[in-house]
Amino acid sequence: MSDELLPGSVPDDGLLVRIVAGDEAAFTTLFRRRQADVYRVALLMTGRPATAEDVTQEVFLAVMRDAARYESGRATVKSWLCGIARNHARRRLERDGRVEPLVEDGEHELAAAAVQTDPLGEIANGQRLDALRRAILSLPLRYREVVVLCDLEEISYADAATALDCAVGTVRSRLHRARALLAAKVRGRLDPVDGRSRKISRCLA
Amino acid sequence: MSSDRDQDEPYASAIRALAGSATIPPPSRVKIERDLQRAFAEYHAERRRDVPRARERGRWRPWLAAAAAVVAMSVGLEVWRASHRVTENHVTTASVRPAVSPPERGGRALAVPAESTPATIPVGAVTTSAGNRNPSRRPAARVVRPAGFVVIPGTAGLPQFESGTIMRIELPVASLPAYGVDISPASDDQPVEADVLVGQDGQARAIRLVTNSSRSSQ
Repeated sequence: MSDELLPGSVPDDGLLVRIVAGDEAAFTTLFRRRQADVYRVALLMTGRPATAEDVTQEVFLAVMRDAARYESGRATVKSWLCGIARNHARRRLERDGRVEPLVEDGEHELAAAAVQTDPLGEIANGQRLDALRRAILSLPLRYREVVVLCDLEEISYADAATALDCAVGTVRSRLHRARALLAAKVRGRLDPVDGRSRKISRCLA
Repeated sequence: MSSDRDQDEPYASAIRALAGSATIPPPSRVKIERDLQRAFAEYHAERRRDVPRARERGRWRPWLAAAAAVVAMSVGLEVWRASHRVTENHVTTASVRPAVSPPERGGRALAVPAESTPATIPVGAVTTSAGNRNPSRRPAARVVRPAGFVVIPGTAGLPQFESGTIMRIELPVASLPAYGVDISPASDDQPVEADVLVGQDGQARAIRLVTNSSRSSQ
């Protein structure tokens, strides 16, 4: 096993070229560089950390086998990987047939990871994020994936359209609709008497 | 965020915070990384073992393709031959004779010597050139017994006649001697119709002048 990493100056598509040639260091470098993006897509698509970890592993196994299929002119490596993650996540959802909310796992409590300068404020922030996460997970799949790709992963509309195999206009309209749905859902989940929560939900509208 | 996005800043910051919170736990990340590294090493070791085998298989591929092409061409040739199979092997002197009757042209007769007709013209399937060029709509080749043809001089060295086509052409009378047809010196250069028997190699083999009776039979 090699823990050797390639320098950050080597671009993602350069790593893919080396992976095709069997360079393990390039593979490890790409994994460390992009695993968070892939995991995030998988987690926000499936709602289950364990499933998201499986999907992350499957995505990089697919990269190991099919790195040569990447076309640099079509999309960035990040959006290509997110597209693969989206496809694997969809397959898992179709197989499992349902979405589990994150709340039961308790593995990724935001408050634990954050620096607690204002405990009450952080709890409120944690509640808002939890409400937002639940709202995203409750979106229909076609809306959920555009929010995850375009808003969370900050992938361009064109790359998202490539990953989703649809038109850019479709991405735009779905995203618009998804944000409206999110606003309504967050508004319903947060305490209506909490002024800060109302402010967030207004901003989401 | 891209410039073409119109998100509210609180929404964008909430999304960013959510994105930052969704990270893979370090123990899981390490385990996945180790598993992937092991899978990568095994995958490429397997590929390296497979390359010589693939090369070995690939070495025979051109020969197999060439052999398949030869077989296909042989079958195609055989099918083509079967579709052009000779239905009649020879036209003897009896069917060639009588020699061409010289047509009447302005009161002048064309004399064709009897000795210019061959003893035997081997003939396969002789078809007429008239007809539709579209093979799907073309009727089956018409097999005819050519009669009245005289062998064109100088064709003795050509390959054996197997099959051919009769083509009707117009010739100046003065050129007929070159085709082995004697004419009277008084004949002028007026054109005359003739049927030319063209062999399978595109070479003209025999000629006959068109008479009123043969014109009506066409």
